[in-house]
Amino acid sequence: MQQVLEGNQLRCKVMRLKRFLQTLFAFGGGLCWAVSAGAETRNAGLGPLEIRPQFPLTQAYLALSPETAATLPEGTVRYSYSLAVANTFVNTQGGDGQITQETVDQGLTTADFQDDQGNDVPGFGLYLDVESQRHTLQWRRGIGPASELGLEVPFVSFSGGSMDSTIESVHDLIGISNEKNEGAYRAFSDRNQYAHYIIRDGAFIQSNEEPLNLVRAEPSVHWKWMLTEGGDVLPAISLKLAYKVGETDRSGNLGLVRSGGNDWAHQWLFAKRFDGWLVYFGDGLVRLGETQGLASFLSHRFMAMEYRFNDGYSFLFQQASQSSIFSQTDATLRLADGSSTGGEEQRNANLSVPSSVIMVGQKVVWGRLHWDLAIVQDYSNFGNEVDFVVYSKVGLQW
Amino acid sequence: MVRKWLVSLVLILGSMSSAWAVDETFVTISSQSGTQDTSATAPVLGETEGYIQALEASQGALQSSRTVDLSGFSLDFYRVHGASAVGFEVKLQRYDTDYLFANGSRVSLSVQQFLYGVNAYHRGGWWFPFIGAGSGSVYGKVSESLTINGTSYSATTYGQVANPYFFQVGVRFPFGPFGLLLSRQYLSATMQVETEKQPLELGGEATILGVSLMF
Repeated sequence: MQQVLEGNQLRCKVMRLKRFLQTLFAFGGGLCWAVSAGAETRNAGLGPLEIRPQFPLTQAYLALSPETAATLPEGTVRYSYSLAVANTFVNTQGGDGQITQETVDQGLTTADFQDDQGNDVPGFGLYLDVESQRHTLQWRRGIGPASELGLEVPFVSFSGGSMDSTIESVHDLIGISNEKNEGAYRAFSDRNQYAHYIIRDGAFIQSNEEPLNLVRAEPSVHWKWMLTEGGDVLPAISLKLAYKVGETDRSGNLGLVRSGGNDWAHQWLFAKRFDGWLVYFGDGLVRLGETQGLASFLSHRFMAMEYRFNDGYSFLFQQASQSSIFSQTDATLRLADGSSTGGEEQRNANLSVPSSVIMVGQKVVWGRLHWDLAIVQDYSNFGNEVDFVVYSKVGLQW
Repeated sequence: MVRKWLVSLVLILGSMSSAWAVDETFVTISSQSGTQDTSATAPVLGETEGYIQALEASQGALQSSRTVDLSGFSLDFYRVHGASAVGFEVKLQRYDTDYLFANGSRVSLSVQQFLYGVNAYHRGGWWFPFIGAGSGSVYGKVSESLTINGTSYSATTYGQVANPYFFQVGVRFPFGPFGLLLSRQYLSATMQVETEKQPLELGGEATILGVSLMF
């Protein structure tokens, strides 16, 4: 009996020791995870170029951008300023020359988007000649060993800009006709003009020819949590949550850059290092609070490759896809040959399908100074994406 | 119990990073060509399509093969750990084809597949078998020239499959800096064609041959 009791006590002690070791192992593992996450992590580089979608209609909403899975070390602060200059030209009525510069000069009306029989056309129609400038002030701080908080305040300008002639020249150089869909029918309009017309089912949802100058858009906050910094096999994994605060003042042109709704988003971020190469992947969703007749959500996905020439200089290639800001409509897509009824959306741009862009650029770090420079080009050639973006970001970190 | 195993697995995998010695990183560029059976559904990933079937109901039976010629190139880099390696691959593939129906109607299809994903290799000396999986984006342009009740109709619809998924098995045969590639790719990329409001499979099962340069 004594031996049985001693045996049971021994088993109990062993069980307790196992539980203690399990707890210690899990706690220690978690602690190592958390502590190392705040330092230079093995799956962190300079990170992707953080360029959000710049299509004019998305400027009023929260959006996700490519981003590293790493968080700033605890107590570290980075102040940044970024500028994205985006040129967009879409003329859904350009196929038969229904809208040209002459039409625009007279002032566009809903009749300009009707078919030849004078019928309203189901679906969206666009005449969008916009060069946008999005200035963003950003504050980020590491608030824990693997956690980061951020705040963004954007200021947006819409105007005719100055990039049209360069873009048309590049089109000519590489054999894209500015009189055809691939060249977005740019030849039918004057350069560096501003016009912003969006019609749906025969009624304007946006119509504006008065440029905006540095209008403050709605601010947003984000919180990023790195679940693991990964290893040689596992990637670093983070979850980012973002929230945009809606503002009630949408008077005048403010409605072009303020949705008035509270948007929120989540994004999963992954990063993996292969010596000098780093690969980033992200997938997320933005839920729009006030849709204003557009889509109710925007899904984002990106892939980025970084090649590190050295600790302070990286080259980046990125691809990003997003769902369309235009919701599905009852547009008539199949027309009888020779028919003059129906819309032109199907001949020009299926606006409600997802689109993609490629981004190419560099990241440089000099001490506390961070500098990014990049360009963005759409390659799907849909009417729901920008034509070209020049992007730069400067940040100070300490 | 399952939770304990999962916790243990995560901790073990997390600690492997310091246990495995890093040997070298290789970068490979490959030129590829092959065939892709777009009527085949990728196992597990594939979705049911209805576009071709809907057109067959109105245009008569499909007269063309749904096997298309695929061409493309890939960039692949991977880090070697002894006899195994883990890497990342980006590839761009494209094809053009025409689908002809019994009444003479035609659907022209132009597709670009931008795919990326992770590969795991076994370095077996003269051959490197691998498995991989990933996502990307697949762009499709569908141009219809149809005859419906004696009237000709045309439409062009574009689409982009933002959430395609693929997996692949294959083998690389290295010859110094050069190499041969043989792979079998299973891609699910279903595009909604709005004219019929039916899905069309742009992916399928592909057999791919390639030549590669390693540096």
